[in-house]
Amino acid sequence: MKKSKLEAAKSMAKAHSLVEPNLKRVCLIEPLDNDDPNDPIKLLEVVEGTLEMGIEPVAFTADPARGIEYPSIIVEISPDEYQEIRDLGFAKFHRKRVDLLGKKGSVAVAPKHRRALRSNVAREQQRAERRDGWTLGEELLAR
Amino acid sequence: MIVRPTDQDWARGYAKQALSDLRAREALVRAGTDKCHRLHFLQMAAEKACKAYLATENGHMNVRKSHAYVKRHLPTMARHFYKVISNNKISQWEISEIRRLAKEIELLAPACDDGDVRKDNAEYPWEDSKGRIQIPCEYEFPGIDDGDRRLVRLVKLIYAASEAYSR
Repeated sequence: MKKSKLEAAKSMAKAHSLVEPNLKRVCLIEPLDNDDPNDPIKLLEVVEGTLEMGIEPVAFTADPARGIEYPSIIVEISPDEYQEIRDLGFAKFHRKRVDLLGKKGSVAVAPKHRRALRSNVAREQQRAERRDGWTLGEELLAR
Repeated sequence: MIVRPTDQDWARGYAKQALSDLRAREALVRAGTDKCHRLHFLQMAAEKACKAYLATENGHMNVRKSHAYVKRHLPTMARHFYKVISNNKISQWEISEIRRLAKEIELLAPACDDGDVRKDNAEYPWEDSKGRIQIPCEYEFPGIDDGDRRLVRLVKLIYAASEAYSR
C-alpha cells in the first residue's frame, strides 16, 4: 500500500540523516497536497556549514522502483537562515535576500550591467511570490 | 572603436547561462523527464560555472572550448566558495564526494570518454563493450544517482558560483 505523503516525508528525513552527517533538522514545508501525487513533498533541511544562499529549492523525481513514491523538493539552509525563516516567514526572508542583491548591485555593478541585474532581481521577486504560500510545517527530525 | 569584452563580462556570460541550465534542470525534474536530460543540464551547468570561475581567476583566454573542466575545477571551486560565502573550510569527505560526482558529470559530455574507456554520455547513442547500441534515454547511468540527497550540495555550489559571477 502506498504511504501517505507525511509518512513518506518522515522516511525521507530519516534516510537523509544517514547520508548527510551535518543535517541538524528537517521540517516539512506546507502546504502538503495529499490529493495530487505529482505535487512534491517539500522539505526544509538545516545543515551546519552549508553555503548560505537563501531558498534555493532542489527538485528530485519520484522513483517508485526504489520506494520513493513522490517527487520532492529539498531546501537546504544553514542554522542561522533557519532562525531567520522562523522569525520572518519564507516570503519575507526571501525578499530580504532579494533586497540585499539589489543593494549590492547598485554599488558594485557597472552601469552597462545594471539592466541585467534588474532582470535578476525581478526574476527573484517573481520566485519569492511563488513562495508566499509556504509555511513551516511539522518537524520531522532534530538532532 | 570596438571595446573588447573583459574577463568579467565573459564570466558573467557563462554564469548566467549556467543559472539558466540549472533552472532548466529543475523544470525537467519536475516534469519527470528521462534521466539523461536531467543529467545533461546538470553537466552543462557545472561546466559553465567552472568556466565562469576560470575566466575570473585565470582570464578568458585560458578558457577553451573543451568540456573537460568539471572534474578538475569543481572541487577547487568548492573550496573557494565555502571559504568566501560561508567562511567555512569544506570538509575532506565533502570534497571527496564532490570530486566523485564531478568526474561522473564530466563524463556525461560526449567529448569526454576517459581515454576511450567511457562512451556513456547524456546525448548520443554509443556502442558498448558487448557490441550493443546503448541509448541515453534508456540508459540508467549507474555512476550517478540524481535522486541522491548528496546531490543537493553540488547543485547549491553551482548555484552559488553562478549567482556570484552573474552580477
